[in-house]
Amino acid sequence: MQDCMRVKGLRKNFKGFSLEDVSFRVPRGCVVGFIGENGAGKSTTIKSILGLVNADAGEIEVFGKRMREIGREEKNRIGTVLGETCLPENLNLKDLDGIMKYIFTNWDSEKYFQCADRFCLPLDKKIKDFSRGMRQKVSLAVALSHKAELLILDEPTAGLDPVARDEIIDLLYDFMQDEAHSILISSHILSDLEKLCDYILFIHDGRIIFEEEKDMLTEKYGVLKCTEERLRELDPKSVVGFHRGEFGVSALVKLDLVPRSFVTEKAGIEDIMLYFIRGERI
Amino acid sequence: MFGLILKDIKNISNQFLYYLAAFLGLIVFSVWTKNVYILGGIVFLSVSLPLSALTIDEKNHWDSFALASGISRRRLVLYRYALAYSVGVPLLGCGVAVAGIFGYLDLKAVAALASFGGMSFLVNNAMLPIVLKKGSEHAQAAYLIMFAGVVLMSVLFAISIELMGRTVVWALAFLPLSLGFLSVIPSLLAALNIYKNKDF
Repeated sequence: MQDCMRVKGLRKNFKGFSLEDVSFRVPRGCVVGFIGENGAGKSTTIKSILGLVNADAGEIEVFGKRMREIGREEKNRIGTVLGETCLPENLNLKDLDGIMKYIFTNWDSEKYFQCADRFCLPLDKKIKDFSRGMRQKVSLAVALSHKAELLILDEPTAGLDPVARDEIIDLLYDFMQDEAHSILISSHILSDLEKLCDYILFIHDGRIIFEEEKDMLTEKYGVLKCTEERLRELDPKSVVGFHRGEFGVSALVKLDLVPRSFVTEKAGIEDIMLYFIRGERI
Repeated sequence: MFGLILKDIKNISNQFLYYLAAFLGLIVFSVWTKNVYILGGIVFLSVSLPLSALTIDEKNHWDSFALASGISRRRLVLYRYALAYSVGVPLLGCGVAVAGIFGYLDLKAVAALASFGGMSFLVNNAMLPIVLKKGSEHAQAAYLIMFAGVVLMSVLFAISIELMGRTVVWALAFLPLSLGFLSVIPSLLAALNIYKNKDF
């Protein structure tokens, strides 16, 4: 499968935090969910991709070209939603349409007003008077209105109620109806990602832990509940992490390394993330 | 560039009305008293309008969006200078025109306007790299110090223009103006370098 975006060996050092050799890809026609706890490096990675942060090392390719070599028109093929709203808050949606015509070469006013209508966003109200959820919707409406082929979304559903989140997920589904489209989306709301994503990219402490097909994850990992003694019978390599409970332990295990006599439960993305980050090691 | 400036005009439209009202009031007062230094003061006040736009952009994280949307760091810096000069130069011209139309444009008036205009450009050129590097909140102290310094210099210029001979008047008038225009080059280079290395 052709890649829409490829990141290789991305490094960035800050005081007290660094991205270490971050590499992954976003295949064309796929949604990659970017997960990790606060401060794990998701936003820094996204900002590095978009050129907001100057990376110390690494290569980023988008649409088959090096990111630093692509021009404005090609960059306009990327739609973004950043953590903050990042739009002029003194403007209303009509004003914003007038500005975006000059920012994006392929600005589609009709699509923009359709999105605004779908999200029930008032056209004459200033953005600063919108709720956080409405602002996120405006950002998404802008991202979807300049014929983008790749969406890079940093926490687009943060602070939204379940109904608004569902509306956004629906809109992203619609976007993905075109097979040439791709999405890289970071979110803490893992249930949203479980609905939407084809791949899960997991970052922890500035390092990529894995990038896996979502369906493969559930085949690869399971949750085992047993006593600690029984857990210690397993090959340590098969246990990602475990938590002690009142009645024993629960562990995230690699299913291919666990004998069939051990009964496991299906692991969700949230389980996988929690055991990787907070689980004790054998 | 047009879209960015249009965004700023819309962004500061509310403040712009207050500024316009203040400018008109000061122009009327200047015409009534035939005092050209009031017109000079208006030109100097033009500095704060682009800085207001920058402060709003900073609050809105606009530059992050602009960069992510394919606008280069270089363009983001250049348009800020274009905005500053597109406010300051017409206001300077407006000051000259008002003094000319209402019959108090003599050599001293030209000297006063030119020196005030020059100082406003100097302040712009000093402030923009500081604001782009430190952010508007941290740059406020620098702006206040600079403002006090310029007010003091303006008073000295005004006294000198009133007391000294023709040659000195011309020299005094065009020194700040020349410096105001020339200092845009190092200022712009510094600002471009700051933005090139900045993480958003």
